[in-house]
Amino acid sequence: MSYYFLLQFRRFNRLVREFGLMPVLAYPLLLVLFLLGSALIFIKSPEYATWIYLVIALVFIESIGQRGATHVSKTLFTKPLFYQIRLIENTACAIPFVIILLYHNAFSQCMILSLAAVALAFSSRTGIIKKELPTPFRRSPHEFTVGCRKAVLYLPLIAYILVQAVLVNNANLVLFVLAFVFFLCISFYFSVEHLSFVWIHNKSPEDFLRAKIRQGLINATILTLPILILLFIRFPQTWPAICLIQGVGYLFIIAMIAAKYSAFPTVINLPHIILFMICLWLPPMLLIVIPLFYRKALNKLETILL
Amino acid sequence: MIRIKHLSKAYGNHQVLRDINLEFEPGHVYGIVGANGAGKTTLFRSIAGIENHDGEVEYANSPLKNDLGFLDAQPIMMSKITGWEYLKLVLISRGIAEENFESQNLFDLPLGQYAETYSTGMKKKLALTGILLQANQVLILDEPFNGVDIQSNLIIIELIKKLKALNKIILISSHIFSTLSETCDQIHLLKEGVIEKSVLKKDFTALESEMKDIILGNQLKQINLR
Repeated sequence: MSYYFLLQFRRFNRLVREFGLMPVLAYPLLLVLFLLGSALIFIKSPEYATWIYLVIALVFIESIGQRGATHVSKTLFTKPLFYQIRLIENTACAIPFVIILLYHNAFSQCMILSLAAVALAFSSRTGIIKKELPTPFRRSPHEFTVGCRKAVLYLPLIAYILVQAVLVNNANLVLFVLAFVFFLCISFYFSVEHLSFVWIHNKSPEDFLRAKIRQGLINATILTLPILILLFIRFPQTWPAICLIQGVGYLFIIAMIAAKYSAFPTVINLPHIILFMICLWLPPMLLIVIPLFYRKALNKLETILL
Repeated sequence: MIRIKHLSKAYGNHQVLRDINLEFEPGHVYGIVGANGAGKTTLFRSIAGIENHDGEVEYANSPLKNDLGFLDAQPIMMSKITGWEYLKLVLISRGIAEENFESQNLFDLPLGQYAETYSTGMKKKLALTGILLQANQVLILDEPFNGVDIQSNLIIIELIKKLKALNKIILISSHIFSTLSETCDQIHLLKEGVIEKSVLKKDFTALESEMKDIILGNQLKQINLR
């Protein structure tokens, strides 16, 4: 079992190196990012922070137990050993979140998280994986078709926050959900398809990228439409903020698509992330970053498509 | 016609293909045989333009990839995509608006099911259906018979014959010699990255026994069977 964890450690280090970072720097950086991210959640929305934090922790722990990630250990180890490994993994992932929750005296959330981490170690998620979920994007695969299915667990959370926002008459919360949906749309482009799925197209790099961007914007509009309708009916006075979030959201989607194909067939790396962080802090920077990524993407696609 | 001139490919210091010169004509089926690691897949991927290589691949309606259906030895399926959506994706990529897949479901695949949950053979059949629906002029089929049931093997053999009659260029690799001898007009023997021999239909039997010697050799003596 110790060799299994040693291999996981090596795999993570290799992943970090592929990402363009030295492992020795990655660990303190991860710790700092985790602490900053946690602090940001508690500062930005102190009312709901503990619950938002709990959901993030649960989604994270759930994701490491996905069928693909546990398939090898399930086939290699005996059942008791497999569950022991799962328990150790889930506990290790839950501990940082538990510490932060304890620091904020969120004892009930802490209890829920601990119990859920143990329960998830013994649960099998093959049922969810195998179920074919309908999406409105069936006829335009693949990013939004796959993304929506993977993000299906966020739906109840989004619906709950929207209902709460309407009940307590909080427009900011709805705007937050709108921004969150855009974040989800952008995350659909994080995973990289196999090279053959790009090679197969009989389009020029320009046409390929334009088609991807057009489809991305249409699909993002479809996903955000219910929230936009709700905002314009219930909180029409917030229209400048709505337009701003929608506009910046569209720009981020364009930037993400261009960034993805500028690094293709590998995943986006550290310089991309840094540029995205700068844009998040200063959105007008997107107007500089998008042409930069776009030009790089055209060069990358030229070698694959032509 | 496809004309391959002085095609070579190396991964670092490891030379996989050396100075390959071949011609493929419409209405013909060509087989590529060789032991594992001989360079068959690399040759196919180089012709398809998936791998960078030295030398030239000439095709009348350039670029070749826009007329080409490539069946990978182990087709890649995205997660959370149904068989129907995979076919849609494959056709969208060529600007084809077709959606009536159920009536053209040659292998009776469960198209509503996630393609990642398909068996190896089913994935291959789905990928093959995709490139057939694309109506490509050139088909490269890397191990199309591997992992596929007997009934489907028979269907694939008949399909290849029909595609040949439609004047397509077809390139196949297979370890099952009988399937090649039944479908191919010419077989090229690839050994350590070099085309060692090109054989026409009348000499296939001699090639098969020669291949047994080449591939098996003294290897069975290496393991201590008890």
